[in-house]
Amino acid sequence: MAVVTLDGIGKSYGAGAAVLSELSLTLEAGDFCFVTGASGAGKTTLLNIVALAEAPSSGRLTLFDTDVAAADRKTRAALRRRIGIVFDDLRLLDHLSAADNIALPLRIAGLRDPEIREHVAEVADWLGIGERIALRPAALSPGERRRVAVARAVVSRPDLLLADDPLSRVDDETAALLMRAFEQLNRVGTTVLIATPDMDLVRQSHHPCIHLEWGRRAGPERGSQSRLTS
Amino acid sequence: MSARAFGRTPLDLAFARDQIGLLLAAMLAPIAYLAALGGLTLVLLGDDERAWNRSLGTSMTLQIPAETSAPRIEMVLALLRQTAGIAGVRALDTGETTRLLEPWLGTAAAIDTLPIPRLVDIQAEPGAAVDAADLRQKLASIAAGAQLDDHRPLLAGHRRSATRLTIVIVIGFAAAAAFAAALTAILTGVRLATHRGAVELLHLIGAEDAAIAWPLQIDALLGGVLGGAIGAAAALLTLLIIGHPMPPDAPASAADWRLWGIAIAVAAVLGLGAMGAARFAALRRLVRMP
Repeated sequence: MAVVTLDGIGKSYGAGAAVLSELSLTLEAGDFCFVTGASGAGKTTLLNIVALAEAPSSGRLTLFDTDVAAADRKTRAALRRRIGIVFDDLRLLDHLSAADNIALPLRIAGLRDPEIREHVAEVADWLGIGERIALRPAALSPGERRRVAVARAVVSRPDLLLADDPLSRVDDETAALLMRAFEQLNRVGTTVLIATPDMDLVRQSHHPCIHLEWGRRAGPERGSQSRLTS
Repeated sequence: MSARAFGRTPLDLAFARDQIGLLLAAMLAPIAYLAALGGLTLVLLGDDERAWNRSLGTSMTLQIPAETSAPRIEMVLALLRQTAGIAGVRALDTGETTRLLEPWLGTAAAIDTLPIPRLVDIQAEPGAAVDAADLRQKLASIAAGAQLDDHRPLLAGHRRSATRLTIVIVIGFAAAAAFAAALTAILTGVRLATHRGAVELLHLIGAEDAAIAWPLQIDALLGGVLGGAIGAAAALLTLLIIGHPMPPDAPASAADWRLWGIAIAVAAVLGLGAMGAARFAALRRLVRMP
């Protein structure tokens, strides 16, 4: 089953230059793919479109075999619940503890408090922040905050994980731990799409990547082109 | 993890505490005060009109000049009893008439030396259309100078005034409701803007619009009920202090359950109205998100 299908996606803001142009991409269930490119290449915009945070200006987006443009708001909300997102700016709520931040997707899913506590503790331990989840984000280190953001994205076992530059501003240990976590999730069936400007990270990995320049796909790319292009 | 409060949903905690709910209550309280005063006035106005109807709605008074002879007075009474639409006729004796005049003439005056007219209390059948002009003519032919006072035109004027006042109060209700709804909608917009980060996050991780709007609705409900209760209680207190604004035969009393009913209804309606306005405003803004 195709988890994500972008067919000729374009995005521009007002009369300005196109941020994305004629972008096509297919991710099957269980794929792991990097999107690389310099700042301004369109990586974040691409992730925002797949996350349904922005609507494309042209082209067709299909998520989990559902045409997004034809979907009503309830269906789009249901699609979002199948997606975990690690935002570049984390978007943690400062007035909540790390545990309550991590629990938000589970609360939206309607789980009860005992189940929520169990899931939150499990994912926090997995990411090495089990002892820190009672604290608010302001009391955590940058690396711990990023782990909280990743924990929130994965706590509901999403079918698709989108991560926007998830390893920036973290120490090597945290970076290695988070990459291992993404790999493990992928092995149990989660489709992973990571945007990063870090070419070293991509080179160290065996996963395919697509490279963006000025909103268009450009070489060099790596991986099965038949899977990454429509 | 935070415990859920009564009536709250799991997404409440996503919104940091703010004072907008209290601000809403403070701004709705004066509206509730005016609305409750209007409602209480309507109730007392109804009481007043019923009292007027009871005392004057079917009543007429006939004054027969003092010099009229007894046989002519008997003829007048006979005429009245035969007139269609008249249910009862009672000639007041001298003692009753004297008591009626005491407030004007005092007890010291030698009333029995004055040419006091004979008064006749006439009760019409409820709803009967007694032809007062025709009756006056016939009465004048029997007892020259007889005066028939028909209170029904006065009552009709009073009813018209009451109707106009009711219309003004109802228009006031509508204006207060519109103002309260607009105020709630504006403050809901302020809350959404204040918590924009949380709203966008909830939206992006899959919360439906109704689920995001619900905490705002609950806060508006509580703000409306609180503001409504404060305003209605103040209106009730005002009324109990100043007393019945109409003639004092039925003074406002704390034991009158209808007054409490009005106060509770104002608080409830304001709360539910604020809740509805908050929902409408929130959904209208949330639907702009992709």
